[in-house]
Amino acid sequence: MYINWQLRELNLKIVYYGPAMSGKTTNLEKIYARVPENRRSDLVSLKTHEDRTLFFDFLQLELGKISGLTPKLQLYTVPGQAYYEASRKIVLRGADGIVFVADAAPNRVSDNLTAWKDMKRHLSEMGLPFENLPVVVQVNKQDLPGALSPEDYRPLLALNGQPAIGAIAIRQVGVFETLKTITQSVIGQLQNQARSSKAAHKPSPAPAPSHPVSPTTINAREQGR
Amino acid sequence: MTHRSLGDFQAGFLQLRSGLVIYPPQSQEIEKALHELAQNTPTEFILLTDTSGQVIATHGNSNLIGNPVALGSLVASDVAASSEIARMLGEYNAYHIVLREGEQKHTFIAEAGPHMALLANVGTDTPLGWARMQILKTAQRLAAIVADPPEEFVNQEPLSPQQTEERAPEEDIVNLFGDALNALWSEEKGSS
Repeated sequence: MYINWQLRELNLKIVYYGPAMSGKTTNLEKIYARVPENRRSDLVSLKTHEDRTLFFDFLQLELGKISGLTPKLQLYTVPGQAYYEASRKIVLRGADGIVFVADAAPNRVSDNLTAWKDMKRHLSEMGLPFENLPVVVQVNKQDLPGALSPEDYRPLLALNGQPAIGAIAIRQVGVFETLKTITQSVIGQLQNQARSSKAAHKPSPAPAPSHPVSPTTINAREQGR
Repeated sequence: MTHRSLGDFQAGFLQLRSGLVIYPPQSQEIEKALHELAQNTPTEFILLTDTSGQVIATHGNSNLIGNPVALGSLVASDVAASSEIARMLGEYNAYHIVLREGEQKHTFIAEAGPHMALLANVGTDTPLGWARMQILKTAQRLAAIVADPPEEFVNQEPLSPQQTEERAPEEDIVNLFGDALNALWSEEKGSS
């Protein structure tokens, strides 16, 4: 996070993480296509010749003024291929929140679990405990035959209150719900940090919940979309 | 009842995980440092970003660049990648500088302490050694500017109940962001 009091800007970095071809870039492309030009940056994509993300995709969104500050959301994706591990770690730096995009196809469970463990290890190496970072799991491609649901992934990923959302990113289903949930989780946690920090200066500290936004499960199929 | 909001962040009590807060006096010092770099080198364009790619300041003709926001993300990533390469090769130094030589201008990208990255475009008529020295000096100066919050902010007391009472209830802040995102999503494309 970066705060500029002179410009009264609050900048948040959200990283879309997940295995190769799970739909991370598609999420950003759908957001880019939907949001008016005057409220977003260009979509920066560093791709290989095979159209796979080489380093990252980047998109900035500008929200309207809130409490006198202009919040800006900076959205990044990481390259999913296993051999781009070093690049993923770089993109994770400074993240305020993470969207883990899992592929709902039954034959991708192992890839999802590997990427999930990989992410937690990188966070640990960077001194960012996973438990303290807002994370939202998006289980994408709910339209595939035999697709696993967000509920299926709760035990698989051992989720402890982190929201899990079903999506069909290519049809824009679940894309906005995911963005909104992670943003609110990040803001809720920042507020808790401010409250805890303030309480440290007062005699009666207030406990802060680990997940400020109530866990939500939005299953695209159940919504009939 | 005491209400809290984003305004609480202004009290300077927010402990950032890995981020950076720049207070108005520091912002002025940064602008001064960039202005002096532009004068002394001279430079055509300067961009300062934090290590997560968020643009802190620009100096010079940004029309030459196009999109400073996108450029900021690339500069920060470039610094992070070149630092990592140096670490892997066992030759990492703080405040490292990467130079890309061009026909009309050279581009320097420098690490400016643990929180920031600096890009400077320099004409080819400027000696490289001179430009490098000026940029290194500025990078170190910038890092020193943001190293600690200004004294007046360190010692600032929390907002008074009267001040906080005027703010939105704390549970509203999360909802306010939700509302702002709803508005963004439902806004017509092409509207201003």
